[in-house]
Amino acid sequence: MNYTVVNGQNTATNTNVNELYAPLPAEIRHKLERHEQIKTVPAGTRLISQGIAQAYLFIINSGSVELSVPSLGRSIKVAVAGSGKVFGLHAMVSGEPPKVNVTCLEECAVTLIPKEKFTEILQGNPQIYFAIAKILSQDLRIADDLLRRIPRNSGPGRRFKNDKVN
Amino acid sequence: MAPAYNFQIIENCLKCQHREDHLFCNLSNSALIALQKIKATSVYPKGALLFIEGQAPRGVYILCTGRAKLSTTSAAGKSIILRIAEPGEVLGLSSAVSDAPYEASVETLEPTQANFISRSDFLNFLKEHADIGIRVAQQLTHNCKCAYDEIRSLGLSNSVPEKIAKLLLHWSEHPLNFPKKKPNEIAIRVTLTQEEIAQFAGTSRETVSRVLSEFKRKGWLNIKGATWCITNKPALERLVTT
Repeated sequence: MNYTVVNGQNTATNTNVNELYAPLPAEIRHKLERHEQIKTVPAGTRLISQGIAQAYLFIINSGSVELSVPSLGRSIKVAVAGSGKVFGLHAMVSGEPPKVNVTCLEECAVTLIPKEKFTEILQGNPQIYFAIAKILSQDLRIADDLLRRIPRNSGPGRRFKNDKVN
Repeated sequence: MAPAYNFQIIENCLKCQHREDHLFCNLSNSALIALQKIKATSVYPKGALLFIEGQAPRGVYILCTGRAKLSTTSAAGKSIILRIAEPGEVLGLSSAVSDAPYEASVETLEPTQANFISRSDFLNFLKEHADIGIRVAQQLTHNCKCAYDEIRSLGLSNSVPEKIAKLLLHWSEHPLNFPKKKPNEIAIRVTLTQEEIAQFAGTSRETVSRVLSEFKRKGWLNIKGATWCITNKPALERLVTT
């Protein structure tokens, strides 16, 4: 067993079965596995960049990555994740460019599945959507948890010219 | 006899005129027939609590008409509004899918129709109808996108006027069908109190009141009860940096 670390909470995952594959029947897993490309990438590699269309779905096999939301040149850390975590599902489902960055914090072994192959298998096997929904639910909980923790005091920001409000 | 709350109850999803506009409801006829059998239609007054944060997930609510606020408690113990749910949204979805407690409390902001589906019925429905899985995933992706946008916005340390201008611009995407006095005027229905707007913007009610007065003084906004008229949208847009 290995562990996916998300916001300091450890979730047990099997090294061989990531969070997407775990609930899927073997037949569908094998279809996905046929299109897998495994790569080792150095620390600092940006797997997903905000606003840039994604060509692959990413499965982290080893190492750790940071999920962050870019905000005017800054980066707000949402979570750190490790083996078994899958990234890129949001863009696969919505077809829109990603809203977040995913960056390797150390050397990572990553499985890539080309977007068009994943989409093709998804269309033929819609039961994958249930597995996707579970992952997206978890992602939403992490984002909502961060929203609870971010201080909501307003900073100076931009005000009205000569204004006295705020 | 005029219908109560001045809206028609939609009993039959197959005959709903809004189904194509709503993200979740635009389903195949076979799925809608199945949905019809498992949903329980209810109408709630303004201020009704559909569920509360931390409660075990009983099921999901499909918001048919009306809006509802999703609120939670911050680490500092303050009540914060995560977002406003619009018609067509499924509430309690992530909890029902993952069998985890509800993440937020949901309270209606106006008279609302919501169709309740128990968790077990919903999960069976999800397994039996392929097109539901797509809708559920799309809805969750949309919710994540909203959460990431909110994180980005909070990280920017925007001023309160900017945050309120952003809210007004967001609400202006759903204008009221209202006879306009001026061509560029946008009428919106705002059922949030100033206290609730303050919970959204992370400020005090007094500051919200001052900012709204300033917007009115500058001729950007008119407020008559729950009907607000944005009279200078470009000015609000200029105030918003992102």
